[in-house]
Amino acid sequence: MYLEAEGIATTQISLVREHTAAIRPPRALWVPFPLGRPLGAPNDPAFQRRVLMSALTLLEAATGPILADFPDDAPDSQPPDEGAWVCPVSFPAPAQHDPRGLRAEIAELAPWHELAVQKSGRGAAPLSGLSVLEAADVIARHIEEPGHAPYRRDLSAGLALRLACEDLKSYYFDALSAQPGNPSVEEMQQWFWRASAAGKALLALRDACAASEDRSLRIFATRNLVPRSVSHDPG
Amino acid sequence: MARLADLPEWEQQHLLDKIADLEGFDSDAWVTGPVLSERRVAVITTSGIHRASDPPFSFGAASSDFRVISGDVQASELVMSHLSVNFDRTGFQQDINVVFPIDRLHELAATKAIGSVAAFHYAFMGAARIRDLEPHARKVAGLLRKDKVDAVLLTPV
Repeated sequence: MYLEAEGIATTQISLVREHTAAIRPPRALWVPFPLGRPLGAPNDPAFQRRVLMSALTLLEAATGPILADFPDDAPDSQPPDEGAWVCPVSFPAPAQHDPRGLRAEIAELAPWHELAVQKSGRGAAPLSGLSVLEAADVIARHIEEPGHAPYRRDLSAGLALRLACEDLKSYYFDALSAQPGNPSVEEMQQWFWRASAAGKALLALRDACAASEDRSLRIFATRNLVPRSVSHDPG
Repeated sequence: MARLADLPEWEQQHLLDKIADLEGFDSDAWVTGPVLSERRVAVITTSGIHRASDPPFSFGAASSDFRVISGDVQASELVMSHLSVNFDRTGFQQDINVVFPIDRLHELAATKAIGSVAAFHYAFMGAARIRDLEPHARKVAGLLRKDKVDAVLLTPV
């Protein structure tokens, strides 16, 4: 809207139709896809092209504002046919944070992570600059001592810790997505937060940092660490 | 997104509560231009992506600035430091085009469906307050004009 006022034509993809209807931008295409996937599905160029062209052709409309609806769900949004996916990692679900279990789990997922990196053609580009084991150690140290000095002096304690947590999650979700059974996003989230040592570590980290004297750690722990879907349904 | 009615009640309410901050933007600005096959297209994404060597998106005032993404960026260079943990990142990790459709745009330019792809694209972080984005958006508009862009695709996450 600010851009259109500056004389540049815009079109957009909308994921939350109600929000776009309230803002009333000049041209928008609402898509019924999961948050995080505005083009619908990874590695599906034909579908992505359809979504993209549907949004771009709105630029040729004579009048507006326009809020159009994309007609199809994302191709992989249907639940799998063959029962629930089970993560083929052999450790039992830990009852609470277990630093040794976390390191063992990371080691067991390493071959899957390698496969994911090969498949996507993307090198692991960590936000934190840490290896995944170093990130896990940073998290474990903050659980034991929430005021622990950040591993990077150029970032606030909360931001530094957030990047380490994002890298740990990326490692896990990369690895899980490479496993057989084509797990859905929901299945991977369920396993990570309910059954993995990493999920238990992040929940323990939230509890440890929620009362920290450092404001950036408190904000991170209480707002930007655990998804709402997990907080609302602790399981 | 999954239709609002399909979400748990607490998630519906969370999203509906945000509408109060989204009203009052009424604008009748409407820019026309050439046919799509002659347009130069840039992407502005609010997914919080950037090159790994750029500073990550952060809290407060630093949440509303932006990062520049060169049109020839390699997928392996891009990372995502969006504040929110309430959306899927696995799609982006497998294929950046599900968030930032740069390869698809180059294909459309190759088949003359669009005129060309901009030399530079821009990333914001969608958890910022929308009104805090205005000065940055106007700065980006100046950069887009220098790049001869006459069509912008805005993508959320």
